[in-house]
Amino acid sequence: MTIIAKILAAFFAIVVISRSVTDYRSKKESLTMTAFWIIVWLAIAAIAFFPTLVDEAIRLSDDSRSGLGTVFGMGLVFVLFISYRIYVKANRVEKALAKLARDFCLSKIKDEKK
Amino acid sequence: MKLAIVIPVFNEGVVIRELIESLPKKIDGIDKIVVIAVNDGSTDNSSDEIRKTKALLVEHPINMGAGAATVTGLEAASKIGADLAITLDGDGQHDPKDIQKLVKPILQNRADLVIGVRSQKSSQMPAIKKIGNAGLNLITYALSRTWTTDSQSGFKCFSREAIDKLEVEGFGYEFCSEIIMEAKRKNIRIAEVPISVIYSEYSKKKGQSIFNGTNIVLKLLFKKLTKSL
Repeated sequence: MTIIAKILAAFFAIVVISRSVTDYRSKKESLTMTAFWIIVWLAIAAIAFFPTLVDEAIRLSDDSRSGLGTVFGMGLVFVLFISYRIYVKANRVEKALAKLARDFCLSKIKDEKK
Repeated sequence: MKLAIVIPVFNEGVVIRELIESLPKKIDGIDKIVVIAVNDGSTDNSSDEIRKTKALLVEHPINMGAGAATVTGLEAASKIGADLAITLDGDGQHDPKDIQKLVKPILQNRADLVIGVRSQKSSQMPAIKKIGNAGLNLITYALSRTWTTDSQSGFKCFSREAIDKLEVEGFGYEFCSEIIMEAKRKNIRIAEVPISVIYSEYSKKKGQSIFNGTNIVLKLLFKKLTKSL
């Protein structure tokens, strides 16, 4: 099971990092965002290859009640929050795009409003 | 009285010209009829076929969905100064003869939104669609507290007041239920009239898939949640 997690993490890290660097080079992405995604995915790959890093982090946090479950729970909450934000943003972009397209095509109609 | 007949069109090149030409030229109580065909980013010859008719062509630069096309058509109707607007599907499943029936309750000032109700007992309507419609009727009722016999019907008539008041944002087929939710919110009077449906092989292939139902429900829930906040 751990070997599958390692392969998947490595694969996605390579894809995301190479894509981020390509986007940065073609000026589609800022340096800050490129650095953010590189750090995030290097961290994910590091945890996949060295799972004991999580135990070490828990030990360093000096909270004996925290366990792996807490860490994953926090991760899940974070992922759900991000999903919600993306959904809301996508919805807004969709509405803005529709308004733009609608205004564009209706601008050709003569206004006869009473 | 000026009536706008709004037809959302997406890849209906095969039937759209015939449909537009079959629309009534005279309706009791109506002085002028304007047909507005909203081409929702079709990739076939729909635009060319519409141009061969007298319909007013409104073109979305991209495909945005049946709901978005209907809203664009209603805004166009408002812009040309229509007193009422009919919406009907571009696949030819609605009988243009029923337009008179839909217009009547508005002309008599009995309603501001008239829904054309398809017979759910028709042997021609696929069973899966009957189940899907019944489920969406229940969901629409749960979200709007307004019972409609055919919440998913695309054959509707709107008074000018309804066109101006309703704020519909849905892009896809969820707009049918959204209209009812909005009508309830804005105290718009709703009436229903029975209509006939022309089930051709072509129209059976068109329309919403049952698998789209989940998507519709999710979007309606999100809409309900965001509107009530």
